[in-house]
Amino acid sequence: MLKDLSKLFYYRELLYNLTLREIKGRYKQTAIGIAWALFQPLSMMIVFTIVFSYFAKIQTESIPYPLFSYCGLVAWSFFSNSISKGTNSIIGNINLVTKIYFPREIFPISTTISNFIDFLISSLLFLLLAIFYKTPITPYLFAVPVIFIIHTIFIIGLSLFLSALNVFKRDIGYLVPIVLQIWMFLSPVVYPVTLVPEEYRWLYMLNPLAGIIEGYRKTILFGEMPPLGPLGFSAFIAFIVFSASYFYFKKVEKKFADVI
Amino acid sequence: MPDIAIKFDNISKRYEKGSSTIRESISKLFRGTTDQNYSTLENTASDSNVFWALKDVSFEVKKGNTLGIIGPNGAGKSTILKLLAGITEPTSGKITINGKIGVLIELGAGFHPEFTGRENIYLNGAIMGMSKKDINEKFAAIVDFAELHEFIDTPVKHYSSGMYLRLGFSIAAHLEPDILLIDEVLAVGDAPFQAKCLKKIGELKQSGVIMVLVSHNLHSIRILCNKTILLNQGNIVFYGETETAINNYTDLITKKTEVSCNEEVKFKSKVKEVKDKAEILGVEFLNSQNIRKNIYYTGEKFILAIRYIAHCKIDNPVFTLGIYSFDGTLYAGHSTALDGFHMESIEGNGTVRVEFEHIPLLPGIYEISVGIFDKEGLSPYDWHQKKYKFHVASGGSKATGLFYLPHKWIIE
Repeated sequence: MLKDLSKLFYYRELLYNLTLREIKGRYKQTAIGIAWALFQPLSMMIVFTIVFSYFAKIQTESIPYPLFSYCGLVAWSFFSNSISKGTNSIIGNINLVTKIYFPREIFPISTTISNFIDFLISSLLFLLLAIFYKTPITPYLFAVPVIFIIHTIFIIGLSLFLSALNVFKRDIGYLVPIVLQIWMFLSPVVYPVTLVPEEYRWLYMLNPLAGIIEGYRKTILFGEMPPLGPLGFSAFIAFIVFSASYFYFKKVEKKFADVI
Repeated sequence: MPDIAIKFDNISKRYEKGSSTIRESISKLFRGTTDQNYSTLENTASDSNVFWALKDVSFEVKKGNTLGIIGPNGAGKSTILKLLAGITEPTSGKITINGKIGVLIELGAGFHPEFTGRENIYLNGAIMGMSKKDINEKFAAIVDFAELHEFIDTPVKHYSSGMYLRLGFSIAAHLEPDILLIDEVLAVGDAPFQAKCLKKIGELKQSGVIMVLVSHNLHSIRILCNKTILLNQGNIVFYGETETAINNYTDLITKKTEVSCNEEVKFKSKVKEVKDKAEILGVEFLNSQNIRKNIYYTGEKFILAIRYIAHCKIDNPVFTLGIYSFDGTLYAGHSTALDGFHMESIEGNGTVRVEFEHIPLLPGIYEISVGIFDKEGLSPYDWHQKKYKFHVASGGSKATGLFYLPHKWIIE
């Protein structure tokens, strides 16, 4: 696997070019271009603010609900968009897969990177929101990059697995959006973990995204220590998923052109 | 062995036809591709569901050589290229490659329609493994060759298909690989572009690039390849001198087409409409002793006899003859009108002969169209399009190219 990873370094320019192709291709011929990246989490934030904050009156402790939910939604959108686009990243490039060889993991990885750019842009809006609500700056912010790395490793791992599986069974492409929708409500994206009954919380925290999203929120919004137990567990799962998926991916990679 | 660029060692490639059940495929996913027990087990289990694209194929290409691969459709030609390019893996056997591989399989495969020509050069170059520095250096040459100066900043979705192909070829041709794989790409574009591509490939060959060329165009195989593999149904039928490979190939095709020809004739005669004024009854190929044959040597005397019947008196008829290469190019079109050969009238049964003192065609299969037209040469009384075939075998006068032109050498 390390050999494969070092090979990726050799192909970094291709990775860069394919990522660029994806970002540019996505927003060409649109009027507002990459600003679309803001609208998805923003519009969801507005809807959830209306539903959960005014109708359902969910308590989010000291944090205003829009800020609270936007934080979760930005992190969630990065995950969900990368996974749903990543799943189709190989079958969407049949032209290249059947004509030219290069390491195929470049497809899901470049999809993840291009979604990372969207993530950055929606994070800018988050920054403005945080300034607006006078969120304090604390040393715990240094934990954010670590959480981000865990988050990204988990995303790439899952994308590798799903993109490869989707080549053999296209059912995956239909299944993933459904699972993602359910997954979102099983993660603390638009509501706090405290809403989950105490006795089931251990089960709830088995979801690796729970630890990650809680991590972002605790460190950035509350200025507290990240929940080390759940976050450590997420890191462990992310690493396992990544290694197993990469191993599987490289094993079946050469069959893509025969099946696709 | 450093002088060997490509080595195929008992390569077999199996494809599975159709889809399997979900349970089978899931368990298959988690088993390895190199699991030998599994593949032999699979063989005996569902033999009908597999298809062998290649069976025990072995060959070597030495440095500085150009290899041609010919054979009928489905012979496994493209599979060999895909294996060489690393796009797919052999089911069994070992491939050894010394050098950097460049691929000319589908021109412009990685183009993004919304990107400009310039952006696509960088994108496609990167896909083919060029660094940004390499591309910067060759950028001008790529644009020059593609003749796209004006349009380089236009999105390629606005390009004509010719411009698209020119750009694709130009990028691939400037890759500077050690081994270049070419699949039928020479069959695209207009004639000047094809000629330009052929010239560029000739230059690459001169500079020592090893080439593997798959083509139905026997002409390009003949002028580019030192050695040629003839494949049929996944097996190597012949590997050696290009000329011999081409002859074996034309033999193979003649055998195949003879069968289908007979069927076609039967079918046609059933629905044959009544030609009310004149009909062509048949065409005979003869040699100088008036003996029927359909295999000739280059430079031999070639006689074609057209038998006809005119049901009424026809004034000033025009007889036509077209000779086509096997890929459908008209090599020569003759008619009594063009030759200024005046025929007063025909009535009843008769035969018209066309004689070629020295047939200038090189080995290959040729098709013939014959017709009887009215005196303006516009509407046919009867016309048999590409209904007849003859074969030119090697053993006569030798030349490369398309024709053997009558000539002599003189020392002054």
